Amino acid sequence: MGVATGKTVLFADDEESMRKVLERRLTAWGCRPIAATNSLDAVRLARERRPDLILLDDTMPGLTGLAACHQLKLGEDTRHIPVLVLTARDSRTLAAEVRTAGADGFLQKPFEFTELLQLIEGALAQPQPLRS
Amino acid sequence: MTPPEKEQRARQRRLDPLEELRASTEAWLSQFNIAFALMSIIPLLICCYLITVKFFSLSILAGINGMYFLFAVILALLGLLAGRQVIRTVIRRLLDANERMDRFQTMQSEFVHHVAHEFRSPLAIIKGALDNLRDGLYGTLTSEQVEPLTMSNREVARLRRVVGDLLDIGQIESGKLALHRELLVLQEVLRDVTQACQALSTERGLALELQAPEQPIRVHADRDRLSQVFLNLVTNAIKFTPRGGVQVRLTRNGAATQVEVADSGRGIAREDLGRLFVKFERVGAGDQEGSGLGLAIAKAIVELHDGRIWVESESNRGSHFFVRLPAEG
Ligand SMILES: Nc1ncnc2c1ncn2[C@@H]1O[C@H](COP(=O)(O)OP(=O)(O)OP(=O)(O)O)[C@@H](O)[C@H]1O
Ligand SMILES: [Mg+2]
Repeated sequence: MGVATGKTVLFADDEESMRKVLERRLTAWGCRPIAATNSLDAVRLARERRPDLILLDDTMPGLTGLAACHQLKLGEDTRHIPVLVLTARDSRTLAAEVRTAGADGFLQKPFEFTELLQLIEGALAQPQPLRS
Repeated sequence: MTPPEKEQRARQRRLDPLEELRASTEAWLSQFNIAFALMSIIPLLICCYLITVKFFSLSILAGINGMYFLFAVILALLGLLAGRQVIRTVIRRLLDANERMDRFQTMQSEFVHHVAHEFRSPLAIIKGALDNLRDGLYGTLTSEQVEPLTMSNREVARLRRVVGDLLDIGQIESGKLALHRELLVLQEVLRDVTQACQALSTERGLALELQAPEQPIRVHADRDRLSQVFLNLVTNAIKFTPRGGVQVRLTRNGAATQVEVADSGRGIAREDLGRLFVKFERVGAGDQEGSGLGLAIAKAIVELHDGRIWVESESNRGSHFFVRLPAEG
């Protein structure tokens, strides 16, 4: 059993097929997935449900995933939740943006599930800053 | 736009070769104007001289010869004026055409960039679904289902690679490929690359060997980009070598360090050597997978590092690729 087992993972992607794929995989890892269809939805659900980890697609209509991440990291009640960003954009220019937005990691689409699991486990194992 | 961004744009504009050409042409045109003025003054002065000093009488104007003379001077002046206008127009047109070409090229590479990005999201879905399928997340697979699935997975991996390569080419052509340099030990980079290629070479029954001196050789370079260069060279060597082996050799000679990738494969015909490093160019039998982008990207990366890449080869005599980079300390 991995670190991810039993953890609640909120994930946001505007593409239904991607949500289905992720949901199936997260369930197989023993996580409890919560799906969001856009960034605002993700931010709202994060406040309501307080998941253990959040996965955000970067390019969603309306608020981008990075912007949502920034909001989550500013929120008193959500800033301790690790956020991973999945993106179809270029990783080289992205690394800095991701850091500025306060995300805990990112992956470029398409990715290997083993890479994603590693990132998730790493983020969950990291001691999070105390809620203040 | 923030001020530093604006400043950077301005600097870019100043460095733009087309902009430079335009500026130098403007300067040239103003010199041309001065020259033209000088040139038109001379006949006018001669004319005045002839009228006032030589003939010293207005009767010259009454004479038919004098009329002709004046007429000729005016014609010459008009001719010069027209010629000047023609030259200016031609130069302007050329510059505009050049600019349009330039704009078209950026548009094209932006298009490639955009298309490649558009591929990534659907690719992620296909790959994710296939991987879920492969790992039995939708139920156990029959042995018959495994083969088409493996096949699809392989093709997805290929598409993924091509999309990455196209993005690189787009960046290279629009001059936007940025290096993230650090001080790195070449031995480490080469060890990682040969390790990554080990499986493929074993599968093909080839010996893959790395020769490098004990003493660490350092370069100031982009690790990922350099790995990409050597990965392509070694994969090429393996792909185009039916039997024998592949040697990777690292040497240092004064301020230059050299990486060689040599194989005992089918080699390259003399007449094909010139187009190897051009994008989409593939030579020989074409029986191996690939899109012909690897070496074009490699060349661009090496040259961005102030290095040089070249090849020595003959048909059926194996190939020998060289990469020379400036060494650090
Ligand atoms: N070691 C080699 N021996 C023989 N031919 C080679 C070797 N390396 C490259 N070539 C020839 O040069 C061509 C261009 O190589 P390049 O790496 O650019 O493209 P590719 O390997 O075909 O595709 P890609 O690298 O984009 O997957 C190859 O298709 C092959 O014909
Ligand atoms: Mg290649």
